[in-house]
Amino acid sequence: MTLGAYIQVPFCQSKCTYCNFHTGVVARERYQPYAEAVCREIAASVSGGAPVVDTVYVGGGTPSLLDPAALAHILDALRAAYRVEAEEITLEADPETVTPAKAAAWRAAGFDRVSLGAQSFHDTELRAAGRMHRREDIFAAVDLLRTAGFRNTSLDLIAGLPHQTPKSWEESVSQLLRIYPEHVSIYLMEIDEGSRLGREALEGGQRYSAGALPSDDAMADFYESACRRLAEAGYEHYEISNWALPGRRSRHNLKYWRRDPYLGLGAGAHSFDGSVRWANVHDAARYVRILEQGSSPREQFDPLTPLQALQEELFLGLRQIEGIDFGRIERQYAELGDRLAQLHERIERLRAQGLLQTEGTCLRLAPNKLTVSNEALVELLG
Amino acid sequence: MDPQFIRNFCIIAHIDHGKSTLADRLLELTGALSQREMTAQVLDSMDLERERGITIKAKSIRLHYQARDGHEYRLNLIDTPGHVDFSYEVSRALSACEGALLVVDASQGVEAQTVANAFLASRHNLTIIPVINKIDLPAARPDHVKEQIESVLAIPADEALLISAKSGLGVEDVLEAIVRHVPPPKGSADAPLRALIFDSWFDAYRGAVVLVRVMEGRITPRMKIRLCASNEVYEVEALGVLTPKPIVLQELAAGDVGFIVANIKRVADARVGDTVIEADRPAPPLPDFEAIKPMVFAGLFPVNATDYELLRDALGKLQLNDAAFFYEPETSVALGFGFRCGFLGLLHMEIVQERLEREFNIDLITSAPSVRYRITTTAGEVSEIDNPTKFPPPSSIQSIEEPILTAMIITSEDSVGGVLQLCEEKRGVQKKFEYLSPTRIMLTYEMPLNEIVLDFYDRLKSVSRGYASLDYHLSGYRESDLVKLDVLVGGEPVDALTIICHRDQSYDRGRDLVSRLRKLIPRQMFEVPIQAAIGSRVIARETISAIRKNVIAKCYGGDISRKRKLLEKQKEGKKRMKRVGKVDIPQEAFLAVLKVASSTEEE
Repeated sequence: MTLGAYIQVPFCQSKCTYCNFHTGVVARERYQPYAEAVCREIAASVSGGAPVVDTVYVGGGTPSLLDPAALAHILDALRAAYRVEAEEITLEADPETVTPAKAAAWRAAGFDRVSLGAQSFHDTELRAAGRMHRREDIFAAVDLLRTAGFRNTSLDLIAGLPHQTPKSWEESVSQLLRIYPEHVSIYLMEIDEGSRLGREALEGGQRYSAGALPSDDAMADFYESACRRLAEAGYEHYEISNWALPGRRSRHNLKYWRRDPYLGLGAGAHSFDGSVRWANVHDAARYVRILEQGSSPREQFDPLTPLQALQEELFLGLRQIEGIDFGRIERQYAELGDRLAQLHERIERLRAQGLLQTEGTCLRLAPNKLTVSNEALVELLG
Repeated sequence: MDPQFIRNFCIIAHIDHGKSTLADRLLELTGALSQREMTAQVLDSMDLERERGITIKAKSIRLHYQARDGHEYRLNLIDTPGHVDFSYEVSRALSACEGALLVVDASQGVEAQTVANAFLASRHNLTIIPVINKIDLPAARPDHVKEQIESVLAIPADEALLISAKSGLGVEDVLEAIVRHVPPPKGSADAPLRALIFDSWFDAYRGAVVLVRVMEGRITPRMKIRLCASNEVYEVEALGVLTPKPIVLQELAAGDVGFIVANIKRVADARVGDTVIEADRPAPPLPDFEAIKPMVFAGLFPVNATDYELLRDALGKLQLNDAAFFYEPETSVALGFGFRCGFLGLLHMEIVQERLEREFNIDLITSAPSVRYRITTTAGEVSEIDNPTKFPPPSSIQSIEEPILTAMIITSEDSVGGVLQLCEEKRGVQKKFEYLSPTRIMLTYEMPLNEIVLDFYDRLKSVSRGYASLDYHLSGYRESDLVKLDVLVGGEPVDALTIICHRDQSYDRGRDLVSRLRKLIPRQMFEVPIQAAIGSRVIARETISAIRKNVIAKCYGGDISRKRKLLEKQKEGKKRMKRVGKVDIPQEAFLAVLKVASSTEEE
């Protein structure tokens, strides 16, 4: 089985208000030692043979902040340790970090796909969310990337930013369609304890423009409108939050939903080998120290029980719009007999409620219930 | 011991005036406990009692005191509960005493329970010794409090003791005053045995342990005793006193207070108020107390149906120790199998609930508390009904009577306006309005119990900014224009939310309840109407629109653990809800009926 490689760069220029991820604003001097530590981890991660890596994803944080040479160095280290027969090598970038020189260097290093965190085409919304870029930076970045030879670009939007209105949302979608990227991600704003904005909103406060957050219903409307417009523009909706032009689905990200193996490298990176999940230490400084001492940064080993694996098949697999082959799941998890029988009943109930659809042995979320998919996934958790 | 050296006394006080602290200090001074052995407030032995600062069960402790007259005295301290719900227990503790220390906080002055307890004590012909506590507080006004004691309670307070139980100041004088003023017990040790049962509790190894005050005669080990009410005969296995450690003795004689163990299986078999006599030497029973009666009723249901057996066992265990608590199986359409329980009052109900959740780890849903209504049907039959869902159809009801309380409220002059308004709103009828001092007022109201059980006490505290104190007792039944208000969620009646209220209040109550529920019930996959109805007539309605957004947007770098945690948290949340029809209703929604705000508060 081929492997996906994920490289985590947990640094940002500033922290976005909605961010609920482990990432930090640190001095630039710490970038280089970090990149070297990642190379060290890559070299040490191979034990016997050289597995084939067919997708690479450098994500963050804001990996585009790193010196392009450091990024090239990381890819070189990967090639030295693995047989990189990559079909897709993605770099996440913030629009304002893209320069002609960087774009050319990324291309030369071997990156063939860039995922741009556009989030919105309105400066008020970008500013309130703590983003560093502005609307014009997005157009400029896309031009630079295309000029440098990138033929596979993805743009992210967030549905539910403070100050967003139906009009401003439609406008953002229109601008995105004007650019016509090969791939689109639309993330519904998550309000939870993990982010500053989320905490503020839950406490009913006004900081971070929490008072200007659209309602849940408005966010759902934004998302559903985008579904229609992207479909009309020729995009295939292939995962709850992801759309692509034909042939441009993210092969790397699909591995997460399909439970294919992937190796996470860098601080806080997560890995899965098909039966065990583990994560690296979160703290970047500690991560660097551990690798400088020649130790392993891996911790939190979590071998999955058959039941946990089955649960994952459902709550991850069903994120794919096309659904999952329940026949395969029944064969693969036959040992869980009673559980499977219960699952059948639950599926039947959810189908009656209109949350799930079945077609032959294929099971999928009802396309008009994607914004409430957790309601179904929770039930299936058993 | 010669009874002239015995003193039986109790301490009565308004809550927080320092009763338990004084008791601790007395124990310490008489050497009953070394300072090291003192956990704060020894007499409050249940965790809950200590946390809430309320004594729930009466206890008695024997102290030895070397008085200034050179004699050694045996002082039996009989503790009394400090909350209005438990005034019945106060009354029976008083029956075992000849004197009472009336503790009054030097800065708070006379409060409602001070008045109620003082009246009870004089009705039992006890010698009352006023004790003004906390005189070391900056706000202490002992002279002022003395005046109040004289004018409000008609108790001479010239010689009131001025103490600080906390620092120990003046406590020695309390012991002297007990010796000097409390009369020794009367009654001959040679007469046939007559002992009053004033408390009992369950011990897993010995069965019921019974606290008695021996009025006449003596009890010895292996004596055959008879309990007058049940007419059952038991053999005394052991007897003794609490110091507070139990000490086994060979005899309890006239004037003594102590425990007996006699292979009595259940607390209910040794009813409080009953008389113990010697089986072979019959004697007439002592005057009995009124049988204890629950006043407030509610259904207790396990959140998880699988906890039903656990709940039943837990209720059984609680009842072993709590004769005032009553329960029987109840089935609710909304909540499934549970128990209808009777309590002395709201605090008693809260305590039972809390003990079930804390000591037995059972998640509970409680239905709206109710009182016992007296219903006369058109056929002329009279029945008492404590469960709103059991009300006969309106067409067959001739009249409904509800229990009425006489409530006494003491409050400050500047808050009296708010208190009067609240009493009005709660359908109170003013009986008296008296100035205790230029700034303190004592109000007497007749008020339906049904209004008190809702949120009266909390509201009273809030309108008086904590100053007002309350005491009440049941004074009878009164006919009222009451209606049954049903709540329908998703078109299904939720029986656990049914309440009985006055017709004039029904529209406000219905609207308030429905709007509260709309906020408490989470959005579901479909639209959920919430209605309040009297019979088939809907008087209020709101709608919860269908949920639109519950989705995980993103999984950063293949980290699926956050996703799993979030889904599992939602799953746990759902498990804690009750499904009625198709709608998941959280526990808090069932509490909504308890918290009915006035229209003014909402604005």
